[in-house]
Amino acid sequence: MSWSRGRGALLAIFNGVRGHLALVCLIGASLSALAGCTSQEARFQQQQERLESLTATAVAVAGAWLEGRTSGIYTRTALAQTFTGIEAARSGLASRPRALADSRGARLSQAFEHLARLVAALGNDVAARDAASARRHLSDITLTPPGQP
Amino acid sequence: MSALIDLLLGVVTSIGGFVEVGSISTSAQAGSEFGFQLLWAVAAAGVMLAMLVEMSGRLAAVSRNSMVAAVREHFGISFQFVSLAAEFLLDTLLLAAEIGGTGIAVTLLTGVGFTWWILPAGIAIWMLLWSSRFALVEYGIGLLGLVTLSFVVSAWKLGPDARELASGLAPSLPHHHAMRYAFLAVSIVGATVSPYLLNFYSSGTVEEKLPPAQLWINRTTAYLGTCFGSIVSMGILVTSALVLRPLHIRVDSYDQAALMFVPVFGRWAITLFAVSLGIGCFGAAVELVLNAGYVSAQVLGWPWGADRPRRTAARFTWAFTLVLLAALAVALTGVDPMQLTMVSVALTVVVLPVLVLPFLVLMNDRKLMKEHTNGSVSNLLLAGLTVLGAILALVVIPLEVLGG
Repeated sequence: MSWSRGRGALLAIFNGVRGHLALVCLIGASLSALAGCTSQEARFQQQQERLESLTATAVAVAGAWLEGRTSGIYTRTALAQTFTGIEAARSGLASRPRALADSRGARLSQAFEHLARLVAALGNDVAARDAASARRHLSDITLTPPGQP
Repeated sequence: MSALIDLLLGVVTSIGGFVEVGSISTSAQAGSEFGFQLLWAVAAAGVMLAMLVEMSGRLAAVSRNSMVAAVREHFGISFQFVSLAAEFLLDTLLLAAEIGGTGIAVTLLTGVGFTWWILPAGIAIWMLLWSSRFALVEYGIGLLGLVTLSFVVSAWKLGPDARELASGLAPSLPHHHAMRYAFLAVSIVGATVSPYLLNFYSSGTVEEKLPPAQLWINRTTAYLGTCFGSIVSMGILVTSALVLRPLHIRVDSYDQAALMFVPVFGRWAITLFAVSLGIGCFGAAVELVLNAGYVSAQVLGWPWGADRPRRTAARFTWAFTLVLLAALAVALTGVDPMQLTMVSVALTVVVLPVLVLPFLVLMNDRKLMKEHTNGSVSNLLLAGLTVLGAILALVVIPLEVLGG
């Protein structure tokens, strides 16, 4: 590739894109609209996976603290972050009446709420250094299969 | 002897400076969601980065010009305006994410919310740049960054299956979540091939006055440093795949990512993760800020240089100070650093062709590069990969962001 040909070609492409900015924007908008059509089914699947991940996180964080492998400071921070994640997922579901009207959506919303309460309780246990209570709450989490409150 | 010491320091600091908020976020997410299946993306991005870094150093050594200055000189400011505006925007977002990542690292150790650490981190970055020479910034941070080798140690100690590792190095289609897989592949490329690294490296080469006769130092540093750096990124991915994936933990925050060290490092796990994250993010933030000063000064023709007394390069200092202030304003809104990282690294791939293609054209200019022009294989490989990556990014980013 000679220098001047390459430079000329790039400048031509640059001017071409500038001249067809409207077309580029239209393609972008079409892709965005396509993305907005994600099915309800896919959304439930995503929320279910999120619930499983947050449940597993709470179990791993609290379990590591009970085994003496992590500090109370980290455990409280991580549980608070997990709580925030649960609340964000739950409010995401609650903001769509269509999702809540569906029995799967309603079950998921309840499962998130249940998990949020247990994670909040675990946070209090860690702050109070109450290992026995933390074990109880932890077993409540693990006894609850994700999505089945 | 001095050349060998330069080489060794260059390679070691490249390894130490490789890991930052982008590589930790993308590799940890890729490992927790797809196991070893995205190792090929880390390897491919590493090869792309090594080639581009070597070229930017070669350009600087031969032409005595940084990458941005050379492109402006040959293509004109109106051509460069769009790409520079995009790079500044993305660098500001990434800088905000790096500062946020530094804050989260301190939060993991202290429990105090990360937004409280943003201003102190910003002041520390500015003070370091105000008072230090280029060598201290580059080597000091790079040497401290060697703590990130703990990701390689953890992956090694977990004993991954060699055959599974090898199969992860070959691109393959996912069994589920194809769009998410493509988004993560794009993000890994964006996190690794950060445009700021290229100009930062070429500006550093100009500052260090590397003679063309010693281009072998540049070549060895670029390839070895990037190769070993990519191994650290792979260490993150492998550790995440072996620890977090079996637990069904999808990494959405650094608190979750920190758990990957617990089986190997036990009581030291969180401290080691926080120190690795903190040093990696702080180092990258310093480089991003310094590069903002370089780019502004090189485009507008101001005196520049980390080794210059700040009073003789006042506009250079003002430029990096303003970019730092803009990033601090973004970070102080409390936006989640991991989400910010994922958006900015994915968008980086979209703008990569407008930054890389003009650079490739320059690398083939015989008047500028004399006998040191590119070979056709590297031209085709880099042009093809950047354009392909950008097309893929244009498709998957809207789907990922709006599709949830």
